Amino acid sequence: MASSAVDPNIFYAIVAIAAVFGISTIALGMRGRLRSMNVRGIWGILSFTFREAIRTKWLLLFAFIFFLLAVDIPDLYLASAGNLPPEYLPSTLASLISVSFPLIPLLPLPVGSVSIVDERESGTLQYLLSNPVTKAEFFFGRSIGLLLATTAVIVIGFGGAAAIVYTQHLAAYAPIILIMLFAGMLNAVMLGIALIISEFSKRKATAMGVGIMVWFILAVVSSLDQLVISVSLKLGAVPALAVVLLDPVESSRLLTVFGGGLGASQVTNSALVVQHVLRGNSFEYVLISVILWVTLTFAAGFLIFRHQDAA
Amino acid sequence: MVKIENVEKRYGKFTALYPLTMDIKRGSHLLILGPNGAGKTTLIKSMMGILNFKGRIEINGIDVNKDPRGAKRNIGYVPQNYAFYEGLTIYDHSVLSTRLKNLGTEQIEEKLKLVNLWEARKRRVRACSDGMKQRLGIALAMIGNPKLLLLDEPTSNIDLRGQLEFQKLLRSLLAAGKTMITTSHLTGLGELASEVMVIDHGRVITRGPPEELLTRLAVNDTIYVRVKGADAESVSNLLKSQGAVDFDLQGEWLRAAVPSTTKLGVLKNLLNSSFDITDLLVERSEIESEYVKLLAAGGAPGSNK
Repeated sequence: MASSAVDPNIFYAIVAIAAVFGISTIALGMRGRLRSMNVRGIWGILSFTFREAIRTKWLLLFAFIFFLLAVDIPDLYLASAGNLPPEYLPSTLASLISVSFPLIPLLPLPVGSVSIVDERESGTLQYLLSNPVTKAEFFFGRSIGLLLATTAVIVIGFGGAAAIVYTQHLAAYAPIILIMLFAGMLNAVMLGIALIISEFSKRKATAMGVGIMVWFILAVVSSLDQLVISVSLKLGAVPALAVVLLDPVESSRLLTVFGGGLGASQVTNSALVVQHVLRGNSFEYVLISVILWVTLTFAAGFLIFRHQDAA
Repeated sequence: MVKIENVEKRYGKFTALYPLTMDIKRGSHLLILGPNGAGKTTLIKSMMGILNFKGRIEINGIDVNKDPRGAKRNIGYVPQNYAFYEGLTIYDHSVLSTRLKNLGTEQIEEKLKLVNLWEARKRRVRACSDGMKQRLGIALAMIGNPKLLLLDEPTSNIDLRGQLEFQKLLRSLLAAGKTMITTSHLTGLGELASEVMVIDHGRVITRGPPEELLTRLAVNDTIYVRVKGADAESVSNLLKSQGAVDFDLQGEWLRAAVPSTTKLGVLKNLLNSSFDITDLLVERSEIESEYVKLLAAGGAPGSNK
């Protein structure tokens, strides 16, 4: 591994500045408005968004896919015969992480990327905003509604499988809950990106296409392991670390590696780079990075929406 | 009720609405006339805070930009193209509207009954006719009893019967003291307006009470006189001497255009004459049809251009 060309403190400073930006944007957006907030209005948008999203075939399909991935059918046969090997769980979860995490963006990207442009195209955004609801309240209700619906799919898929297969002892639920948590964070990042795509798109079909393209680039085309080696050799470990943290899919996957050793068998070059630079604090910094992804994408989405015409 | 100060809307280099300043009094009805793309909807959407704009708009003393929620509590908006969630029932849509307005559901029955939709409340919006959707739009706008109603092309999608029902509803709302702003490119709402504003290419061409505007435009009303054939020419001459133009004789009916300002005098003279007049009809000129002539002429006396 090449020696660090950039002081890690610079990286930490960037993280701190981004955190301040994200949090202050949200704080400014809410400034003095919490008391006068139209809570019933937000609830109306949130519950309606959740109800409509959870009914879509795409989300139902994903709940089923996540269930099948997590349930691991061969283990089901063994479990029914009482022949599960003692070490089956770590290996099952490791493979679940490597298979399911690249698929998770496919859940929020199509749903989120059409959500605002569709309302704009059909004129319902105009209807919603003609009521005593601010743009901030609409954005909040819409984001949380979609977040809850997509997270519910992950929880139903993984949780349903856990309830069926991992029933031997309670401790077996802890890792699956962690996986759901980190998968939920990745889902949130992707939803934030999807909302930005939706805000900039003129048409629903374009938004959907761009959403799928983003997934394709992040999860399929980008060979992060090769890229990390190249950057590390050429520029040093810190830029390579930046490359890793700029990929939310990989960052979220790494959380499962560092967060509970769940993906220990899936340690890749990116995990090695993170460990090399951040050493014992790998989990904390990767966690901060993913939280920043969530904060910044939603803050940017909110700012863009606020300054756009609604119709 | 509404205070508009230097409101301007641009899309890049294109100006959709040139700086506009005006006040709209409480309890009045402003009819905004203009062709498609004139800037009528832009003005309405700016009032709702749906579009970002330069300048300042106050609704009932509340700045739309500073407190959009507070300003919108005073407004009921019926958009040009009714956009509903088609999968919801009429009742569920009403519930959504009450939630968005931070209200309970008590008003739903009253408002749906007002527009004759209570019986159909379980029907999904996708199964409703255009007229029903239009009435639903009005009912939703009325929830919360807003002081100001913004009606953007409210009769564009409905048939004649629906238009008449709508006019009846408007009359009752005006009688109840509501302030209304209605946009139209061609409807029969002129007679209900206390003020008319003609707008084109984002500029106000003229504005004033309908009667004043018609006078300013030197509008002619049409009279139909039923007269025995032999007298038709003499009647024509009499009318001509009093400023009538555009004569047409069909059977026993003689049609002529008479300046609306002198119409009463002309009719008196006609009735006091010795001609054998068996019937008489007067067709009042409508502001909506006159604005078309105004736009064709490219402006008007008293123009704000």
